[in-house]
Amino acid sequence: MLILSMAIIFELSDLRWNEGLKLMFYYSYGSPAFLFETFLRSVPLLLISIGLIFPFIAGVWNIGAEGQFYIGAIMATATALLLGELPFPIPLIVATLSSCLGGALYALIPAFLRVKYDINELLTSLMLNFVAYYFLSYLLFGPLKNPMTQFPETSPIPLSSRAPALIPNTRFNILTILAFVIVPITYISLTRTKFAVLIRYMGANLEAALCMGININKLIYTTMALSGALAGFAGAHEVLGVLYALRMGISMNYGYVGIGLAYFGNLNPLGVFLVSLLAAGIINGTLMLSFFYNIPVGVYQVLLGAIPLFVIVSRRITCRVLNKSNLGI
Amino acid sequence: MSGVEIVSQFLKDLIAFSTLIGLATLGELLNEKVGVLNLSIDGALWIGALMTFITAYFTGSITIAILVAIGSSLSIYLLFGYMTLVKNVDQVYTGVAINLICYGVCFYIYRSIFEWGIRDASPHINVSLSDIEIPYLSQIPIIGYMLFRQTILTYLFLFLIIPLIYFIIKKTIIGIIIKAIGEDPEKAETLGINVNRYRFIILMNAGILTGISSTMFVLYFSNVYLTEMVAGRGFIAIALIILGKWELIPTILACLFYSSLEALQYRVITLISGLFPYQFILMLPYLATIIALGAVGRKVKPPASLGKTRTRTK
Repeated sequence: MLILSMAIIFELSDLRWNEGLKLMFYYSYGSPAFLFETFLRSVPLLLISIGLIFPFIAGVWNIGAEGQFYIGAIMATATALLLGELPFPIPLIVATLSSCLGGALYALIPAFLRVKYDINELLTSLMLNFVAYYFLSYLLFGPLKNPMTQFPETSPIPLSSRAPALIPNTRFNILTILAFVIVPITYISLTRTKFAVLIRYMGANLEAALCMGININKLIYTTMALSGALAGFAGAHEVLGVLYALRMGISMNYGYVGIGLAYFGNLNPLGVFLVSLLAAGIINGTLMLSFFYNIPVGVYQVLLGAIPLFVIVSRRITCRVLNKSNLGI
Repeated sequence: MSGVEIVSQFLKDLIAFSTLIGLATLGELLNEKVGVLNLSIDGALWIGALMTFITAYFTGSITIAILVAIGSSLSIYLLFGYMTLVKNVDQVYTGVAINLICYGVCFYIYRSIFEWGIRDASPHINVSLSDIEIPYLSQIPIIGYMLFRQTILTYLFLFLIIPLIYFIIKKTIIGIIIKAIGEDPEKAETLGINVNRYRFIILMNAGILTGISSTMFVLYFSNVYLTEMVAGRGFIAIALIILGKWELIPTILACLFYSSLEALQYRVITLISGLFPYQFILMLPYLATIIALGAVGRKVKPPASLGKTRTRTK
């Protein structure tokens, strides 16, 4: 169905559909260079949606990954610019940690409001996205603006805080590897630990979990902080490993797309890993296509938005075919 | 400008903004009263604003633009209703997914028409809703300026839609049925109420209100279309309902509170942009809503079935 809708969009955009699909596949996975770019693109999506798995299993709605991503990116840039030139690994480590911390703290605001005042975390986390966005815009037009250019972006961060590229001629760096290492770690922590059992209880039946004496508030804080930290780390990866500066368009709706991907990956880290590779391929493929063939850039957003609905529908169909009861969602 | 003029201009903006946010909020309030948490309101506003712009750009007719906006907003709500009421998919999840599609579709359509189709560098529309002055009443010093020099949509909102919704909710059997469905759909169903049909009808009405509200963005407050124009006002509408404790009159008051911030921002931004970073003023509505939510906090109780997926008993 995804392929079908892509074909329709290519047809709408004055491109033969089979040509379009072939080109898109080529630009996303076809050659080593493009493949590495796709891996790189998948990292923020992967980190954000893996982070979101925790609150979503627990039934906590964190829609604020976008804002947490911005805050992480801001923290990474600010730390890197403040520290300046220091012996190599120190600024990189400090900047990464500070961005994780920033994202986590930003995610704790809605968690705190939920615990203390019983306000729906969905709305507050969502509105904090806009606050973070305007804050970024303020920084980029104000204190952090690069004095050398006219664009809303910061000065490039010092060399010593850039993540070293592991493979020459690509931007595939040490933070990227770290992001991929997080996948098995999350998998283990979601299958083998007490924490995972607790959040599953909480998500399945909140009242029963309360009766069992599970500390719900602590779980809300933990899950939100985890997802915030990972979203912040995604911001750090973009700044320290890919762009080496902070710009306005640093997030391409990663935070919102991540929500869809977390569900599309069935709230399973391995599933999310594959799905974010697919999504990154779509984004890169359509970006390249729109660059070369004059297709409007919004294509990938349509596709990524449509993914969750396709998943639901196709899952219903499989349910009906197998004559089974509801498979979740 | 004298002091009185500034105050009356501010109040006029306030009422105009409250039309925009109020229409969307009342529609969403009806939805939530029957237990449907419709997050796709934001997407519907995006699509509605874009469709208004495109129609007004090509036809130059306000009426057709408003009708198209209502139609497009209805189609979004129809999709939402199909997924949540017929297919029983989680409401929050569906809402977020539909929003994502809407953002993408808006971006795509706008780019493909104006940058790629007809290559207009700065497309803008020449028609806009004009203020209608009501004779005699508009001569009253401040009140007249505030209430009786507004657009047709504002009159519709103030003098038709608010009283109508108030009447339906408070005075008719439909209001009681709505409340029953929101509190306990299963019991309502045993009483012979067709829950899904009510939910669907109310969803469609909310779609019409949202569609009308979305036209205000391009037909009144601006004559260009910007992708970030709506900026999460759909979600603010949902927050205002919490502020208003799911009651009609407090919700309208919450809308007025929010529109006063917006009106302030609308005028003030040009006055003090040199002194104060304008981004902080843009943040103001969001921060104020969060703080106000904190102030209301624990005292509110939503309709019991809000946001819950329910499989229909047969």
